[in-house]
Amino acid sequence: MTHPVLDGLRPGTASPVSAPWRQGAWSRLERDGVPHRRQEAWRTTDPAPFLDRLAQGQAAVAQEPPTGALVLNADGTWTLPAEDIPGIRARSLEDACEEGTAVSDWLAGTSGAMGLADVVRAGASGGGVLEIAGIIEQPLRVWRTPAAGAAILPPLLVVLAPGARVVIEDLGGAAGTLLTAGHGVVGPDARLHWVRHVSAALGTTWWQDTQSFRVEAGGELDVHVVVTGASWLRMDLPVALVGENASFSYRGLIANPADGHADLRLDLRHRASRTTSRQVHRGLHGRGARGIFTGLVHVVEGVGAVRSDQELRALMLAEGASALCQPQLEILADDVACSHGATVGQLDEDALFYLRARGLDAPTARALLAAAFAQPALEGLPSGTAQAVRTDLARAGLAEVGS
Amino acid sequence: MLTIRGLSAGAGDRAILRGLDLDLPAGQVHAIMGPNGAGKSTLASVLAGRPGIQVTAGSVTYRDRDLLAMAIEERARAGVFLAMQYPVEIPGVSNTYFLKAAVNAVRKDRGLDELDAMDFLTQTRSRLKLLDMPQAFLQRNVNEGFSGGEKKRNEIFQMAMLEPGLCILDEIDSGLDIDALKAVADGVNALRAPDRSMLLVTHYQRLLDLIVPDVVHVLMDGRIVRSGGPELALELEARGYDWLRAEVQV
Repeated sequence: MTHPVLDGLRPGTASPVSAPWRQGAWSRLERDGVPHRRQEAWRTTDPAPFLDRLAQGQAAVAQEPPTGALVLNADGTWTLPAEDIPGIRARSLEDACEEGTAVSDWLAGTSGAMGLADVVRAGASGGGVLEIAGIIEQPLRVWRTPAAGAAILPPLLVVLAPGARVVIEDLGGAAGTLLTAGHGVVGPDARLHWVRHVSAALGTTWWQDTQSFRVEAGGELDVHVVVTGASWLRMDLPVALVGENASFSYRGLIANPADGHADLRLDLRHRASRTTSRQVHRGLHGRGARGIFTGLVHVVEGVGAVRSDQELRALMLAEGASALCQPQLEILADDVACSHGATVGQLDEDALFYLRARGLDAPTARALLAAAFAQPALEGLPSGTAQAVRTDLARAGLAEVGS
Repeated sequence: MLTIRGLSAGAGDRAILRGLDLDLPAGQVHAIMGPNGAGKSTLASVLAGRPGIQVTAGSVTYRDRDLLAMAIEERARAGVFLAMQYPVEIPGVSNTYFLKAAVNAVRKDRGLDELDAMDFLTQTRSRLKLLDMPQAFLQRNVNEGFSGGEKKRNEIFQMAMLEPGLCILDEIDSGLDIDALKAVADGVNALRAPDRSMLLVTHYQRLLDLIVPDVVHVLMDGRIVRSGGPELALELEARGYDWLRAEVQV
């Protein structure tokens, strides 16, 4: 074994159906070991403290799900707000992997092998699949329940049939030490809006999360990631645009008022022609906080008419804050238009003076400017999450509620 | 309303104001003119409390209060309003939200109830009408994408909403075409009142045709070197500053 974390881990054997894949993930871990700082993908975050916590047996602390949430239980079963929700089929990963290639692809590690997803594949006691076949008007709030004493939450796979549309608010479901993974497949001409809010309201969290996505021809994927409080967070987002005219949009905010380490790493692959992507990221970092966003855009050889834009900005709001915004481009094709911009700075003193010269006190003026700065990353959030984010930011003195 | 005595101020090692004296009674409009670099905008900035300018000597009394001892927002709430030469664009903050927050901050300081949404809307409508501005103005972000004329009109609109006691208008005529200048001047004139004083910083006499001042001061080398009626501005327009510089030996 290469790390003590693997000593305490046994491949899940809950079902003979998924056992071969889980064993495969286990074998990869045995062969490759766990991530370490010397690997390019982990240069910005040292995984050792998190792995140490896992090795020490630190676990997720389950919390009460919100009313109306779809609850994915630790064993892969679902507790739904209604017995039958038109257009949605909720199954356990075990049941789904017999017939679904999307599920077996994910279990085999062929999609989204970054981060610690293999530990989740090998060690989760269950997992769930949401299959969406129609147009779902209301956002679906999904809550995951950890097994007692475990850090691994059940993985969630979302599979959209052709033409399906849905908003998934993937709420997590626990504080403490969490290890999660998930996967989304956006079928032809389907649209998935996936939302993750890592809220200060969860309490102290040490969280590693790998959420991968595959977007097929004409599919649209919108991803919102908002971090308003985390002691330690590393989130990997591998996205593959595999069909022509597929599109991807990322909007994200890391707002750590004080201390805390949050690192989002987006690995976007344009694998088909006429694919488009846009990334908008904002960071607000208080005293002692560290925020990192890496946006890797890779365009494979032989594709054409690809368009990609990145706009990454961060503000350091106090001494001792640090921020890193990294656009990275790997372009192996000719017919590609990419734009990227990254800035790290401080609040505009002239704007601050302007607001104060109209009677706003300094903390209110700062909060208003911070909220305005963050706004492009929050556009389009479902109203419930938007309100929760505003509340978190206001509590942290980073926003005026109602702005 | 405003009394300035021996005011000296500068930025870094550079002295800009050098012992400036000025009295601005309630209800009057005074114009400050002077060549480039004389210290006109520095005076406006000192009165509003802009950071980066150090006051090294002198006093400023506004309504019997020591203005220099007050924080920026305290001055604003007490009724000091600076219409800026270069209004800042603030993306993401709507005019409505910003104005409501500002108006209520000022009202709270004056012991008045905060305006509710309806009262605020009623007040904004009447002030917009005063300045011949469309309602859609309120939905736009503060100064974002505004033309030069719109920015200056927005400054006067804010002034109308906040009902200040001392209005400092720093080159509100710069960058305006004739129509925009007239609209801004009309707005300012509509706000003249017995309990409100105005300090008008300008380079050009044309503004003073539209907003007729009670007194014109000439600022040179960091102090007031000559004061007179509106005719002084006409003389400066005709002769420039060299004759005055020679007379006062600056």
